[in-house]
Amino acid sequence: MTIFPIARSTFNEAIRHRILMVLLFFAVAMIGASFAFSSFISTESKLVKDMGLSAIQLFGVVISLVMAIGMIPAEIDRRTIYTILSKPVSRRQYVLGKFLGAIYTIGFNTLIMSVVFLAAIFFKDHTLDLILLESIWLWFLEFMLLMAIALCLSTLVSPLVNAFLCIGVLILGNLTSYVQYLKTFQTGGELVVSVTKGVLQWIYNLIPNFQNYDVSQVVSKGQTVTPYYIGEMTVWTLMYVAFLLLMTVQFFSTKEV
Amino acid sequence: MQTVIKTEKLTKSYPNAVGGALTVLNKLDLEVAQGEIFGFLGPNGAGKTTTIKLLLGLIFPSSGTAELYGKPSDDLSVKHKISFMPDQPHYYDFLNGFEVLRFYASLFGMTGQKAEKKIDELLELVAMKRDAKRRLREYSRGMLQRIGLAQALLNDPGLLIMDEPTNGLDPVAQRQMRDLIVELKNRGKTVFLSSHSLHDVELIADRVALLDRGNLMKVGRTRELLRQKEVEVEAQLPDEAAFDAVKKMSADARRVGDTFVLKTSNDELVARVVDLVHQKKGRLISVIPVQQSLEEMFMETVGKGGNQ
Repeated sequence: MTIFPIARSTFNEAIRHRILMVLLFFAVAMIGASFAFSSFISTESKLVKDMGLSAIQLFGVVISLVMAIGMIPAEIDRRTIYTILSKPVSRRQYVLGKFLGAIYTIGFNTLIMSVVFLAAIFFKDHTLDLILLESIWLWFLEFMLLMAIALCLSTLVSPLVNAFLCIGVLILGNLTSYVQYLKTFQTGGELVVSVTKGVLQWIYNLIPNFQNYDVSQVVSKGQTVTPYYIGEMTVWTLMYVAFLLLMTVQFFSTKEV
Repeated sequence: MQTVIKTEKLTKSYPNAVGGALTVLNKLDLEVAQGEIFGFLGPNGAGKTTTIKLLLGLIFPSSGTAELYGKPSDDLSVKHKISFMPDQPHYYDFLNGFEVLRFYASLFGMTGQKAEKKIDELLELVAMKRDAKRRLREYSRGMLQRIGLAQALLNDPGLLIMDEPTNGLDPVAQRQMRDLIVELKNRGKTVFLSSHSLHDVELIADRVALLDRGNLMKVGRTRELLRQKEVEVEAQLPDEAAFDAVKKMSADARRVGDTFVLKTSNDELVARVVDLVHQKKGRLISVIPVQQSLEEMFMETVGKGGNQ
């Protein structure tokens, strides 16, 4: 399977990427700082948990976007892709290999951040709070989904436009409950109301609800999320990712490189 | 002999700013037979790289067809039989030479000892064994070209598509690359050689095609395309009167000590001058037909359009 060598080389290249490593360093530094900071102001570990989970999410999102937006365009710019696609590698295998490599990378980054984070909690509470892994897993699913969106868009638009679109999707995806709320407004003529409702419904259906991935407030209080919820989110995300990858392969198969 | 590359009316156009189309390759008909070195020439913007990209399935034709070994060029099974060596070194520079080759070998499904044995052989062939553990970013241009050649030979391809293989190489490395290409031909490989180095192509290509602004200008056996330009006559004459007689026949005759040299495309004049040398009891040193060089043919063909 040629997918795996491509995934490995993508991962190997990413972990040597200076920007990604700097981001990882800052994430780890932020988690470490939250631990140091909490020692002065509180004996509770909630501050470390909140800050740590936020750091994992923030840096995970940034690393995912930086990685997925530039992955294919960079290979086209450097023309590395010429020697790869002139080998018996289909475009489908290439896209899947790149995506798998991106998953390896964000998985590696999330693992490093999680280990530092759990270690900080352990030093604070002297217990291993594995409930936090529920939140981290959901963040990881969010990173995966974001990367699939960015990868798909990278076959259609320039990296700069892609970055704006992804940030837009991320913002809208965190506001989907407000989108539902906005649909209840009835101001303007009948046509305006109906068009507005249609557009809002379209946004609501199309854009994933990123709020669903945020269970940090629940787990930082020591409460758990039901396994059913985690399973449902996992299946839903994998289906969404599979659909996006299908679209990416479709777009990339007609893209001239 | 099997046809390895066949294009029929292969055309590539791009939409331009005013709603029309810019044709970068126009109805290219080409056939390359197995075992030949085929020189693909043309100035910048002639459509050489476009043709190569179409053959590799990196871009798609606007019309016409491109076939490799009788199958559409984007057919995945064909990619096992072909290989590509790009003009610029486009490899993962964070890897070392050995790792790069291992990566490309894995794309052919070659792993483990089989891959390592093949990589060792190729590193030996391209004289890169000593530097195989150095990172690519530390390599010189020539070293990258050699690694490029090694990656292109991993699958023991029947057809090797080379884009400017001697680009940026010093004269010794250029000579080595030429020898390697001839060696590949001797092993039965077909080499499709796109190059600006007309001298290299003239020395090794069996056939050449000349492209200009997307149009195929000439194609054929190298020697047949290069017409005999003129004949150079060199002779020793016994006295001044004999020299004057030659000068009367042609003002182009040049005296060098007690010999003269005449370059002319007039065969009749050559015959008369040779007769005169015999008559005057002179000594005929040489009568050499001077053939047009590939560079002259190139300039004559594409220079007319003011492209060069």
